[in-house]
Amino acid sequence: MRIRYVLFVGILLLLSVGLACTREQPQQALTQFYQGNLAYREGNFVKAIEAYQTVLSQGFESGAVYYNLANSYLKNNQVALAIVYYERAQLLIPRDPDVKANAKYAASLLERSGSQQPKSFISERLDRYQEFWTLRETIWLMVGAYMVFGLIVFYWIVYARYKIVLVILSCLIVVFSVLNGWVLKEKIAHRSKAAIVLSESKATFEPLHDATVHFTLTPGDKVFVVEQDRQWFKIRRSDGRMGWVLSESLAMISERPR
Amino acid sequence: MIVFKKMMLIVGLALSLFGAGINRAWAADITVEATVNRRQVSLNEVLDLTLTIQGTQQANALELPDIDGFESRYLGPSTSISIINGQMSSSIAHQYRLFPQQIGTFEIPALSFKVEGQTLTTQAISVEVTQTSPSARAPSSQSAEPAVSLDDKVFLVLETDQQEVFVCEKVLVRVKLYVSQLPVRDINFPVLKSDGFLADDIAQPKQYQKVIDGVSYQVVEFAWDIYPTRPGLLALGPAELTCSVLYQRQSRRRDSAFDGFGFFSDDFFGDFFGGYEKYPVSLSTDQVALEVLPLPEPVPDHFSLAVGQFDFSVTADPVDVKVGDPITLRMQVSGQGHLKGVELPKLLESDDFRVYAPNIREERGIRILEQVVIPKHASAREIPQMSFIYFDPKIKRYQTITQGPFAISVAESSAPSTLQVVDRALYGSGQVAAEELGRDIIFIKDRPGMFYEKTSVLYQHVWFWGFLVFYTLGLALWGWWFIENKKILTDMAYAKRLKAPRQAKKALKEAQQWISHNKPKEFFECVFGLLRDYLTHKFLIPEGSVTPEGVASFLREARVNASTIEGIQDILSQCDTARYGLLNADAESMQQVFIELRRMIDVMERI
Repeated sequence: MRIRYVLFVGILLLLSVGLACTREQPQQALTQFYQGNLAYREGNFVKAIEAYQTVLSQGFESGAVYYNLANSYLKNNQVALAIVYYERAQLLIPRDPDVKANAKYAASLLERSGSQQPKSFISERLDRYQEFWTLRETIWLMVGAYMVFGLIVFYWIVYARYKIVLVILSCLIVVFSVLNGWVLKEKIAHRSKAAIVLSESKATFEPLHDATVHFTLTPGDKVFVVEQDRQWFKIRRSDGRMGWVLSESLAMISERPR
Repeated sequence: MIVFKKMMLIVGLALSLFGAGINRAWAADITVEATVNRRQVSLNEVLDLTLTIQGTQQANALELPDIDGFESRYLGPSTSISIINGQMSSSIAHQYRLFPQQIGTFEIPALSFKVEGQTLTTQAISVEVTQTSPSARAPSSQSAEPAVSLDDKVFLVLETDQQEVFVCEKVLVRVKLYVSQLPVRDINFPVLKSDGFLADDIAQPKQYQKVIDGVSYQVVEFAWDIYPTRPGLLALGPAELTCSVLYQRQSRRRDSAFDGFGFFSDDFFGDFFGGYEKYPVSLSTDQVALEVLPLPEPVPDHFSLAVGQFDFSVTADPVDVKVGDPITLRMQVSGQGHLKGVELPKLLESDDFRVYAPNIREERGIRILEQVVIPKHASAREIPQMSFIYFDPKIKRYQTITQGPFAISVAESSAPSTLQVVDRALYGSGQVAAEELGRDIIFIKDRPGMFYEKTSVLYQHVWFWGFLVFYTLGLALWGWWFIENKKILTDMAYAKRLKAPRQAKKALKEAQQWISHNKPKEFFECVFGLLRDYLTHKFLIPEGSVTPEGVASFLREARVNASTIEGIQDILSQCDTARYGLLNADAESMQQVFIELRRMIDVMERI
């Protein structure tokens, strides 16, 4: 009898999750996507870019759309924009090796400025873990951890057996949740990530046209947007240097609100 | 008692077996040997003669016959037991001291013993008596100790197992250090002058005892193989060896009455504990001539320069390949002879095979050659035979060992011929040309994957939070249900309290029916039953106490208000009256009772 109840509740939960996940694909967006593919195969990269941008303008996105758009920009010799869209594709399909390979190739075509600060072993591992999951997946992981924790608490209260095992599981869940909480925080923080798209972009000390130039940025450089003042963005480079650039110099990696 | 007897039997059996084992260990052949501590003695010295009987300790001392040139005196016996490799042996040695009387060469005759019914005879020993002690070859040290002759006490010998060999034939060399009655330390490995020879490493030395002309020596033997590299009469040696001899220091002459007297003497402790000093000694041997014969003509083509007795084998693996696939040809030769210089046959480039430089090494006395060969086309059917030619000095003939040919099956390659990387070690320093690869992006994706709304985030959706709330509530409800169920099963009072209102509700329905049928007796019966069950379940009042008088105290304890208690008491009285047929109630009065009862139950339910 008890097992039937467990199964019943479990099926209910799965159904609700499944229902939440299924939705119908937008037909217009699909059509534009395939038209873009056709144009790409014909070598008409400008037309392909238009088609993919139409998908985005309809309010939809997918990893494949960003990837194909990035390829089209790259074929059209717009390397900086290609890098931006590869980054966007990586947000949605982070484990896709094609995206990583093409992004690396695109980056190799540009001369980069600034210096990368060396990372520690743990820092590198945490970054890799954080990049492995999308934002959506991270949230679901935390939900999963919460659900498991709830079951542990339920079992503890109702049956009060195997307490040591439950304590250990709880600790693991807590650690897992803390880790994913950090990942979530990082992903939200990465919404302010942008890439430079104009060549010879100058970062100044003040948001003024005649301000002193602090450093120069090259297309493809990745920066973090710290502040906004009208058409100026205050950015932070990977080596920690800060400066103001015009909004047309960069493109946000994530189009979601910061 | 029985157990004790069994134990004694086991112990007795064990002892007898042990005794038999000991007896077996003890039972050995009896031998006798006569040895002297030196073969040369001066008139002012003494000679020690030892008669050692091995295999028994029951042998009386022999009375020496008159020995020409010597006076003798018996010093006494000494016995010993030794256990070597689990075998026990015993011996008894009778010591005699001989005092030379005149100069000359004398013979200690063979001596006969009768031991355990056997007659055993020693060998005769020849001894030279000189005027004064001969001087030693040892270099003199800083001290002014008199020189001592060491020639007969420690010497070095160089031996070979053959005097006539062929070029490259193995020759066993032995350098033996003989030491008699002398403590020797720091024995270094010998150095052998061997121009015209190749030498292997010297093996670990052996140590044993040997009697030569009646003198017992401790022998340290160094042995290794050498190989002559050219024909002719070659001189081997001399071999040189350095060691240290321990020499007992003599005490100083006393120059004054107080010098060195007893306790105040510097030499007191030295004399008391022995006073040994180390003297470095350098020993050398004579040269040994070795006749090295040239190899007989004509020397065959592809002679491997191997002289000795050898085994040769060849394997090819794999044998089923495609064009362009490598085959490893492995040849190995082992045997008695110098392997380092041996030339192994190798396959040469041909129309059928592409070959690479072989890898040659030695492993545990086996010389191995590995060569990669690649068939160029499918018509290559076999790897040709390989021959190893060596010279056997025992039969004085060249011998040939042939292996193969090796049948192979070569199929056409299905893939276009590509560069194959094989083990770099087999190629020695072979290099692969650098390849320039093209670079470009990977093609676009054919499927769009899952579409998402650009500006929406999961946690902004109502359904997401609804799901979490539903899950939490569901889990909480489920938990509450489990606990509640458990409580009902384990706590009877609680279960009854829960049941009380349901039962009361059911009884009220029944009472309503009796009112509609105008049955006062049945109505009041039902009401009484309702009140009784409700009060016993709800407040745990004993059934017998559910009376107008008895119920008040319980209800007061349960904090039921006074008016309700009065109402219940009144209804119970009416029930009692009606049950005994003394009350004639109509429908209206029954309805009033019903309403009052329901009100009171509602009040009590809120407690």
